Parts: sequence; C-alpha cells; structure tokens
Amino acid sequence: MYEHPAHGPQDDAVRAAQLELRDRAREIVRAAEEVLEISARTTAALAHPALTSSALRHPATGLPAQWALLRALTSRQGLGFAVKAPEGLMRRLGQAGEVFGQESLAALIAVSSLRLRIAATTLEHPELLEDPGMRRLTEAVVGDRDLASLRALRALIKDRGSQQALAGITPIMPELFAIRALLDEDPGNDEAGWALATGRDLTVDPLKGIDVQHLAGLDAGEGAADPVELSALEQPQIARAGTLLGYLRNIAALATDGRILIQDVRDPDGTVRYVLQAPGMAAGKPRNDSPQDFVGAWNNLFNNDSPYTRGIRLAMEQHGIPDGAELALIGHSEGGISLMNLAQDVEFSTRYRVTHIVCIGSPIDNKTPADPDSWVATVTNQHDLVPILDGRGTGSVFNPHPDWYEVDYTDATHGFPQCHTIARYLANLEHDLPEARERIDAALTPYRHPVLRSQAYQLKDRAHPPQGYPFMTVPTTPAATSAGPVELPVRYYDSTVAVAIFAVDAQAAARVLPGLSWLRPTRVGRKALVALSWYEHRCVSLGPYSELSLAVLVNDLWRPRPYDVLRDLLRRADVRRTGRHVVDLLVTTPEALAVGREIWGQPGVAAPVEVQVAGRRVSLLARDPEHGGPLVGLTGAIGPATRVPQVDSVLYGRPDRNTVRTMVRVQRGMRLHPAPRARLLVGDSDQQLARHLRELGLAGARPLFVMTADGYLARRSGGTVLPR
Amino acid sequence: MSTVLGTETDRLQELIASLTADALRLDTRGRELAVQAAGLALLPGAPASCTAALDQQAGNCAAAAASLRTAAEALARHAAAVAA
Repeated sequence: MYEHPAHGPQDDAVRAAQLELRDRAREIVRAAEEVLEISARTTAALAHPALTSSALRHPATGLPAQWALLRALTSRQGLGFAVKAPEGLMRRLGQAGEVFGQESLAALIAVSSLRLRIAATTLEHPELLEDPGMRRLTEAVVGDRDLASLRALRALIKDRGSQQALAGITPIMPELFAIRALLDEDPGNDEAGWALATGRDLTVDPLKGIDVQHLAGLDAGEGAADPVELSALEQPQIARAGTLLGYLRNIAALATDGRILIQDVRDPDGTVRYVLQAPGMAAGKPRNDSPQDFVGAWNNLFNNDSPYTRGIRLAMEQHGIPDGAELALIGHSEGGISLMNLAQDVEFSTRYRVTHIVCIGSPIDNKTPADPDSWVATVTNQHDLVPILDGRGTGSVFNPHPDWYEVDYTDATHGFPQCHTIARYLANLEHDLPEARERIDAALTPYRHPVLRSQAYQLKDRAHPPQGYPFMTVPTTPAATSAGPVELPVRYYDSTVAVAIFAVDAQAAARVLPGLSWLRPTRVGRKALVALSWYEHRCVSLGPYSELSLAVLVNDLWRPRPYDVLRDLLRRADVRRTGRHVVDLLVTTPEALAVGREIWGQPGVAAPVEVQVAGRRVSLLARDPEHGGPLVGLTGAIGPATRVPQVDSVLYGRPDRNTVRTMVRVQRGMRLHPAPRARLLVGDSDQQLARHLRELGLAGARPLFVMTADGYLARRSGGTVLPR
Repeated sequence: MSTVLGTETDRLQELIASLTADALRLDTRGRELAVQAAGLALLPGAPASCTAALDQQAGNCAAAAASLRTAAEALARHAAAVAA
C-alpha cells in the first residue's frame, strides 16, 4: 500500500484518516475505470455491424434489441455514452450527449473519488475549507456550477492576486482540474480528466484538451553548449566540497540564463565522479534562445529529447566525462526534468552510471530512470504549482515510484512563484527539513568530497555561427608589435562611428600633408575634402579602444587627376588608387597605438576619445594628451539621415620614406546626415591635431555632411609598403 | 493474412456474452460502491454529500446492470430470429 510521504507536523489521527480516504478514493476510481470500459463496450455494441445489418433484415427483433441497448446507455440510471468509444458515429453521439450536459456514470464515480482526495488533502490543509473564497471555489467546481466556479475564481484572484490565489489552491489543483474536465460540457478535455483521476500520463492539457505536443513543438533547435567562465562575483559562491546545499547554492549562483555546471569530485581512493547541476526555466518571455524557458520546460515535461538534454550531452562531451563514469544529477524545476529525461534514456544510462538523481520542484512523476539502481530523491513544496504539471499533486492516490525518496512538505509561504524559487527550496532544506537534507546528503556520500574542477557551460537552443560570420571569418596572420603580438586583419565586431566631412581650402589641405609633390588633395572646385572620424570600438580583436583621425582625401599617388576620387569611389577598394591620407590619429590604448604606428604607418598619439551617437545628435570629444582638457569636439544636432550603402576605405600613412596603404572593408551601410548643424570646436592646444584643424580653418566650422553607424563591422588589413 | 470473423450469428452471440459479463461486473462494482459508501459514512473527514452520491452511484450501477441484462435478452431473441 502506498503511503503518502509526510514531512511537517501532522496529527496521527489526521494522517490515519487521510490514508483511509485516499485508499478508498483509489478503490473507487478503479470502479469508475471499469464502468467506463463497460460503457465504451455497450456504446460500441449499439453500432456493431452484425447488429445494424441484421436489424435491417429482422426489424421486429433487431429494433427492440437496439432500443434496449440505447436505454441502458441513456436512461436516467444508465451508463451514459462513452466518449471513449471507438471513433465513429457512437463516439460523436457520446460527445454530443456530454455537450448537452448528460454526465456518464463512470465520470460521476470518478468525481466521487476525486472529492475524497480533496477531503483527504483538506485535513492537512484546513485553510482550503476555512478560507471562504477557496471553499466557495471548491464547492462550485465539485458541484459542476460553471458560472459559480468562474465567479469564485474571479473573486479569489481579485482578493489576493492571481499568483497568490493559484498557490493557495495548488494542493488540490489536479483534483479541481480533473473534476472540471470530467463534468464540463467539453468532451475534448475528458482524456485529461481521466488521466488526472487515474494517475496516467497527461497527453492533452486539462483545460481545453489541446494536444500537449503543440506547445512542446515550439522548443526547437539541435542544442548547443559552450564552456564559459564564471564571473568574479560568481566564482566565490561555487561550492568547493560536495553537499546537497552546496550543489543547490551552485544552481542558485548560475541563475537561469542558460548555464549548467559540471563538477568533478575525487574521493580519497582517487576515483573521480561527476555532478551535473541544472537550473530551471527563466522567468519572463516564454521563449528565449536558451533551453531554459517555458516552452523548453513544457517540452521536457512530455518528451525525453529536447534542446536542453542535447545541450547537456554536448557539455558532457566537451567536459571529457569518460564512458562508465559515475554521475549524480541535481536539478531544479526544468533542470530536474531534463536530467531525469537523460537518466531514462537507455543509451545514456548504458554509457554512464547514473547513481543519484535529486530533483527539486520538478514534475517528474511520469518518468523513470533506465537504471533501476539509480537512487532518486524529489523535494516538493505542496504550494508549488510547477511539480503538479505532471498531474500528480498532494492529493494523488497513486505512487508510480514507491522506491523514490520523496519530500513533500508545506511551509508558511504559500506564495507562487516564491515557493518555487531555488532560494526558497534552499532555505527550506537548510532550516525546516533537516531530516530530509541529512537523508539526501547521506545518499550522496560518494559525491561528498573535494571538488577538483568546476566548469560552467552555456546552453543554447541552437548553435550560433561565429561572431560576425561570414564577413569576419577570414584567415589571420600574426604580426609582432611593441605592445605584443596581434592578428591581421584587425577585426572590428561592434563599433560606433561618426565621420564628419569638411570642405576646406585646397592649399591649406596640401600644407597639412607631407610635403611631397605627387601627394595632392582631391579637389572639388577650389576646395579639398577632409574627414574627421570618431570611432568607439567596443569589440575588436585588439581589445576595445576609441580613436579619432584626421585624414585628407588624396588623389592617385602616381598619376593624379582632378576629380579622381568621385570616379574612384565607385571602384572596389582593392583596385582603388585614391584614399584618405591620415595626418593625425588619437587612440586610447597602447595596443591600438602600436598597431597604428608600426603596422599602418600612422602618426598615433595616446589620448582620451569619447564617442556618443544618438539618432540625430552626436557628442564627440577628444582630450588633450598632455593635460586632458578638450582638444576637439563636435556636439549637437546633425539632422535627419538617409541610409547609404557601405563603402570600403583605402587609408594611407607615411611613417618614414615610404607610404603605407591599408584597406578597411566594412559590412554594413551607414547613415548619411546631409545637413548637420553642429559645429566643430577646436581647443587652443598646441597639439598637432589642433594645429592642423586651425590651419584648415575648421575651428567653428560646420561639416559638409556627417556619416554615422552603430553596430559597425569592419576588418582592416595589414599595411602594404608602397615604393612611393 | 485473413481474420476469421465467423457468421453474423456468431458475432451476435459474442455481443450477448459480452453484455452478460458486463452486467455481472456492474453488479459487483455496484455492491463494492455500496460497501464503500457505508464505510465512508463512519469515516471522519468524508463529506456526507460524497457518501450520498456514492450510494446513488452504487444504485445506478445495479440499475445499469439490469438494463444490460434486458438488452442481452432482447439481443438473444434477435439472434434466434436471425439464425432461424
């Protein structure tokens, strides 16, 4: 005989009465099941081909026989049509009968069983009857009064909020759902009602009878796992020795952002065992790109294979867990379901030895580990809604796993989701359930040893391509600089860019360029064009940095022609002859400075650069490298923008006697602001950039146009030294 | 592969046997429910309305069993007419 686990203070007389009520409920529902089968057979007999065809030939005896069967089903004391009858006319008749409010005898007997289950639970939870709101709801559901049920639920929710109201009735929720499904006029949910009443697995949802696979199908993806480092804040929270509370604290530290933890523990004789720790689903959106979401939890509840289980397998492969290794699986909520799914997989259980499974707040009663020797413990707060999703709640009279160690308790917190959080379970096990904690810890003895290694893995629903793929997926070559080795091309994965183009006097532009007869600024009438470019590189292969450069647009270095640049801009960068000659460069990190000077041949200086682009406004500032005061700034409105296609760049630098040419390839287009109002402010510093800007007459100048971009992707090649 | 279904009369006889057996089962279940209802009446915590409902359902099982027997008899007369 199944004895419901009891944790928490309970009077012996109450417990005895509970057991008696539950035993009788179980017997009664068995009777209901048999009556249902009889009802289905009688319904099928009415439509039996031998009877229907012979009754046409012998109506004098055939019709009375059919009438007698019909009476057995439909009279006031009859069986009622069974919606469980084989598919066909009779099943439709049964469904129609239910729609018009005719209850079957079997359903009514099952409801009696469920009412006894509720009565047994209310002995342990007297608040369910003492509270007027909950009593009203329970009585209305049991009495099959739909409108009254709705009103009672609405009043309960209005009184205490939906989560509190649901948590309050959680101990009897499976029974209420089952009664509603069996008595309401919707034949679609009868299957769920019978599953809840008889302890079978749910295949449809109990409210509307919708196939559970519809929602489960949204949890798509092949699963992926990448090793990740724990943050400096998380590292100290990770347990160094294996205990139940330690493992649960690890799960709490991981939160629910898609990560799991694998720990290696070594016992004194040198055996290494592995502990997989898996958190539950994240609150918020029902779908995210990790398997720890609502649709993932639903999928794991009804299916064994999911992105979560596939992700855990990949993490185990990467961790190097050898075949035959002993595993303890510790999971909270969806994590527990996923780990149990793995444990019930024969191939998994053959490859590894799943010795222990501990599931906290997980609905896993419809699952069984493939290895019969696996030791299983479940911990469930009776007011937690999540563990009853498998259809087995506090009042269940069926125990599919009599050999499991089950902790089914209640505490003063009846609030949901608080009572489902790992923090609450942790606190309960630490302070309120010492006996249960010690029992589980005792079982986990083989894993209660120092932790050799802790590795977190980020799980995803599906594998993602490398960052910037395919644009950034290019061969790289190492290059040495005074700041250390770098890879070329330099890859910029995420940058904010603002390029201000000014029209300046062509003679002045020529003066800021190196004094070479063949190096001529591109002219537009009497003007030349210069570009003042601010960049904030947030993610770059050199490490994040910011930069400001001043460059003059120059013609072909060998055969300069007027208007070269306009024609040349239409050409690919690798065949372009014009470009921007960088005359000043400010950067914020030593690595960027070294690459700028030594690879690209540009006159770099280390200085603070600040870049902010927000729609139609910019706030761009470079500070003096000597005293930190404002050196050059462009702040204000830059006006509306239009999108323009991406244009690769050719940059020139001249570190000594040769010119260095580099190409910048970009992936995304930019925004062109044709009518900026902001004006350039140039400080009175003697720094070269400030001097050049003053010489170009740009102090207080308004740009001809500004180009901006966010999330800018670019890669910049190594420099090619030209014989020029 | 073929399935032997027998004659129409054979199939009607099977139906009669099934209905008769089910009537017997219903009688048994009805008596069990009546015993359960009587036991619950003495059990603290069992709702009185539940006991009354079970008692009524036990009576309905007996009534349904009687209806099934009636149907089985009618079917037997029909089977005889078909066989004749």
